[in-house]
Amino acid sequence: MSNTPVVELRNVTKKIKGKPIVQHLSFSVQRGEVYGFLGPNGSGKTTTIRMIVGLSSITEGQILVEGHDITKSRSQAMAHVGAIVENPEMYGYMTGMQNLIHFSRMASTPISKERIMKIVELVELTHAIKQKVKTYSLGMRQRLGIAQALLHSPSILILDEPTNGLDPSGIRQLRDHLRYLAKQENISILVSSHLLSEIELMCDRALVIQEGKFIDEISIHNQPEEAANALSVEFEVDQAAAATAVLQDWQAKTGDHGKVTIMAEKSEIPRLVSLLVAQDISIYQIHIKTESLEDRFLALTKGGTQS
Amino acid sequence: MIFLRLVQNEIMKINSKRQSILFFSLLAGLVLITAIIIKAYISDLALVMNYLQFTMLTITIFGFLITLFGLILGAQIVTDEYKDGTIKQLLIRPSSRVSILFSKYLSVLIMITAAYFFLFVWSSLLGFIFFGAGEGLASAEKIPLLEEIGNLTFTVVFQFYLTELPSLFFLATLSFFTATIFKRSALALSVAIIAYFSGKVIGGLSQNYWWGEYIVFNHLPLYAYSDSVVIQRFSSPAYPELGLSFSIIILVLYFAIMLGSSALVFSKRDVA
Repeated sequence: MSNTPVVELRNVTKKIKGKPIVQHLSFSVQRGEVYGFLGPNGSGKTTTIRMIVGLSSITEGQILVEGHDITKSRSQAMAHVGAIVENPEMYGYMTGMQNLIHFSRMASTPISKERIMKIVELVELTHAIKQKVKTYSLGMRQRLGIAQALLHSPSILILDEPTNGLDPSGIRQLRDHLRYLAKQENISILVSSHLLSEIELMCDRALVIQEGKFIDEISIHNQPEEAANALSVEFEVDQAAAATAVLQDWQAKTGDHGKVTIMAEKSEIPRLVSLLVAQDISIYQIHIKTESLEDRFLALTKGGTQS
Repeated sequence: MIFLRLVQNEIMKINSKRQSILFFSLLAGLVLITAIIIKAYISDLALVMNYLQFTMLTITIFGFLITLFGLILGAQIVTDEYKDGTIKQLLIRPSSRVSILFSKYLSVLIMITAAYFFLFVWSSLLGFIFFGAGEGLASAEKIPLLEEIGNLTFTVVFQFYLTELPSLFFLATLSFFTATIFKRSALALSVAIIAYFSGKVIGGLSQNYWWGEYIVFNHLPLYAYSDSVVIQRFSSPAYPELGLSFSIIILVLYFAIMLGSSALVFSKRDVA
């Protein structure tokens, strides 16, 4: 197993008619991880994904898939990519099976009938695979889309806004499915979304972009540990001014309605309470302000251009 | 190898569409009806006709349907992928864009040839059943055309079919080229149909100028060079002094320019 990232962007810029859509973007997706790509609508997510899958040209920079430069050795690079860009468009006038045969013929190495049947089973379409795709529901099309993307055992599955147009139960099914598939097939997944909740539930790490620029890379599962160091703790007391004086070593700030906010570790809280009590200050409420990913996202994108 | 699989895919897609099934059924039905009408109502003709003459007759009457089918295929094969959004699914795979484009082009030519072959075989079969393989129209008069029609051979009829192909390939290529460049199937179809109907006139007018000899329409009827009166279809070469090879060079040039620019545009274009 090599340590090279499955997908790597190096200083990628895309300009359309002189207008920069994506600027100096660099990131990499490691083997086996689910990587989120987060940004408000129009932030350049789709453009970036189009560049990775070879639908758009790259103005500057380099994109590597399994170490192959996608412009110089496109064929080798694309052999490792499975993708659904926006909606899972299929040939409605053919059956699900014909669609899969069609895409299997486009793979660089031959795909056996058994492999196709295994994937069909994996996405739970066995019952409908002989029907024309135009009779499929959106959820079924979505699953057929995943099937075509997985046929050739790619090392990266790229999904652009996969939950667009799905109802909540559909979204949930898709999410569970993807996590399951990532495990079963041992592949990395790059998933873009403007919905933070989606990214939060699906991904290990996420990149935040806005107006085509890198804003931050966040590690979703590590977040509680990170925050454990310095928590923002809010006390509600009867004498805010006095409390602030007592707690000035912990960067105390006085808020409205008798609220005092400090920065402290969790283990320090009991000691702070006894300090306040010793000064005869009454405490009504203590509240640890865990910063949600949502807050961080909005803070990062400065409220965002989201509608 | 992978290129052949791409062609296989394109042909599967063409044949899964309802319009292809309709087209072939229509063609088969019309030929059958023609045979029945001649047998039942034009008994004078039926008596003197054999399967070869019937086969000649069907291409003369229904050739334009195949032309129309070819032009529609050429106009749709790329634009439909854009319309359905499936173009993205094709271009995110290992095959290069140029090989995808040419697999589509080749499939159009194969389908046109297949349609001709189908018409030829079906007409011969029905002709044989309805009119037999006996003596054809015996002409008392010594008019070369009638004489030749009276003594048609299988080879002449087959060549007659084959010589329809170059100009149809040209029109289909024109349709394919326009569709690829502008992504508009209606426009492509219109351009090709206009060329189909006005090609001879444009060619004829251009012959008054020095550049007339570079106009493709003056070289498209390659059959004009044939020795057979039947295959010539009443035409003679526009520039007999330049010869068949010059005509072929002009045709190849036009094809190369259309296909080259299609490939260039298609491989450079960002897919939105």
